[in-house]
Amino acid sequence: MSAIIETQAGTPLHVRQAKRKKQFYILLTAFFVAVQIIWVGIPIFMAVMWSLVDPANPWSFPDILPQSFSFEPWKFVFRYTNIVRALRTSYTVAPLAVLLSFVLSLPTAYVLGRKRVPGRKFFMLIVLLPIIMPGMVVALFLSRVFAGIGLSQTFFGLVLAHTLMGMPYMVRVLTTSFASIPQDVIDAAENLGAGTWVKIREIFLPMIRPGLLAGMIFAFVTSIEEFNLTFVIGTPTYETIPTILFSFMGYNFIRTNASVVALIMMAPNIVMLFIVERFLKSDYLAASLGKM
Amino acid sequence: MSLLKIVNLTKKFDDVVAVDGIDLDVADGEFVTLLGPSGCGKTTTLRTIAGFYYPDGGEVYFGDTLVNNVPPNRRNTAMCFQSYALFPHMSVWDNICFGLKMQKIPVDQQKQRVSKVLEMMGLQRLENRKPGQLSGGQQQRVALARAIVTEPEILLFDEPLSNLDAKLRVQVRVEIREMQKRLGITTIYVTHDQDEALAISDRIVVMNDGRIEQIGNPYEIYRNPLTSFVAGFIGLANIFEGTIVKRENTRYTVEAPFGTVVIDGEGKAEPDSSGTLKFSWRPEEMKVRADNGVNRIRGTILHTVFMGNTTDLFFEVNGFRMRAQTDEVDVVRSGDTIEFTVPENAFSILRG
Repeated sequence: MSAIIETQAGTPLHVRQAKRKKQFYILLTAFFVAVQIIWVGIPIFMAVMWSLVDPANPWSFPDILPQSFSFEPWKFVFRYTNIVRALRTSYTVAPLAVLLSFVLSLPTAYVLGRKRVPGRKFFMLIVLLPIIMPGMVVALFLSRVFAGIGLSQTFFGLVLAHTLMGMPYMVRVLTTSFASIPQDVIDAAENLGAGTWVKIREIFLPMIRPGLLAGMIFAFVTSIEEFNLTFVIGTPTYETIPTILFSFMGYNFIRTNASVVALIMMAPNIVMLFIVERFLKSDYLAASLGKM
Repeated sequence: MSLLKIVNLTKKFDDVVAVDGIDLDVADGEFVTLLGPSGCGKTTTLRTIAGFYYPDGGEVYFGDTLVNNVPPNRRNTAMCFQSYALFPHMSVWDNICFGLKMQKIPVDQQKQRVSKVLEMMGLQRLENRKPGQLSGGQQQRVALARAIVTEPEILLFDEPLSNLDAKLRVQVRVEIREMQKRLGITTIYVTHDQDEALAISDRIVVMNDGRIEQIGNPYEIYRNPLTSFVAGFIGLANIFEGTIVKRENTRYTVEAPFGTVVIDGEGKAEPDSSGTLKFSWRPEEMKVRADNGVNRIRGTILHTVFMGNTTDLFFEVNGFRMRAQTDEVDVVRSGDTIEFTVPENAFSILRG
């Protein structure tokens, strides 16, 4: 009987199949890693290289690496631009925008996630509009509105603009989180004596936490990288890191300086992503184990 | 005095009438089961008692208090859900303690009561686990512990055992019953499982289509069903209708499609004045090859199903199918013609 199944080599068919499958997965993984390196790794590496180019000894073809390194581009950026102030602005606007978009998104997400509203699908789509529309278009017309109500060139106006761009992510993610809470769990809390506030504090907020963290990352990163609205509404009174970055990419294109600003913008985001990933992972683990 | 009183309760969802004017009195410490097929209104009734639904008509009283408009968190009930509905982000301890915190019980008493109930449920070593790290049976116990620790006026169960496997189900239902008797908590229990209802209840409320078909203790419900629905839903039954041809007091001679039977109706329902009689009997009441007895039924065996402790016999009498049960395994084979007898007092007289 077994002679029929086994091949001449003596390895059963299912074992060879499993082996081939495994090899295929390894190949796919390798491909993915390779793409990641080309797509993400090389630009970051290039940015680091470019930010260290010695202006006295330019990096040009066919050199694979710069001839010599220096901190001149870094010194230039810190000496001749408002990068420090821009950093401060970026990192005060972002948390405030995250907080505001959270507060504003919470009721919307609750209703969309837990109540049977007519046109729910339509509203879910409408919420995404700010990310679907080209940023420049939003910026152009929003600036007119903001100017009309005196929010142009104000800090609050800047926070509000960033909030607008962060809210789509927040609403979407929180809506899904709210929708995934079983009604039985809410009923159980109520049955045991929980009023509205206790339900919010003890049940809803802890249970949407994974989604909330994800939404916060998206909103935060969006704010840090936001250019269009900031450029039209904030500058020149308020500069953020992207507006400085773009100033090196216009007619006076300076790649070395741009690389420095790009790294300044990128590094904290990457660090934050790793930190939040850790939180997220443990949280999702708890959530999935909790069989929500 | 009744602890829970439901008067003419009606609940509609849009145009669908889920509960259609039911009345129910539950005594202090009683274990009452609402039994019926899905969509019969049993869960709606339970959720209305808990306060998740407000009645469209009728009244719900806890003791003397009308609770129609009291929200769930102000009613002193505790519910065990089919899904257990444990809080996934809280430890076993915090889950159980939740109700006590809501009641603003002093912390030292909270600790005492949670420890006590953990011990009672055999959960001592699991207090720091999250619900997701527990087996189904353990989750069930935590849900039960969370409910009883608050010492509710009324304990509510919504099909609590349907997610457990068959063996555990029997074990946990015994535990629930013992615990309920020990604590003396008035309990309303919803199930569609007739065995569970018969095993666990002081009284069973059989519901169908938003109405109550019959209320009685398990013995009455099984032995003396009042409607063909109850006869068919609880246990197995042969249900027929015939014309009364002779009547001596409560002894009726009935001409049924398959033959003539004599029914002793003492202590049973009165037949209506139409002259026809609907009646049923249990398969296990049929005696195979008995020597004496009035009601002799000759039938041809269609097939037999061996069930372990009994054998189901499906047979045909003048073109009408019936069912019998016997514990004599090797008595009959398919195709045999066999004579059964049914005792006169084994019949139930049905209203509808």
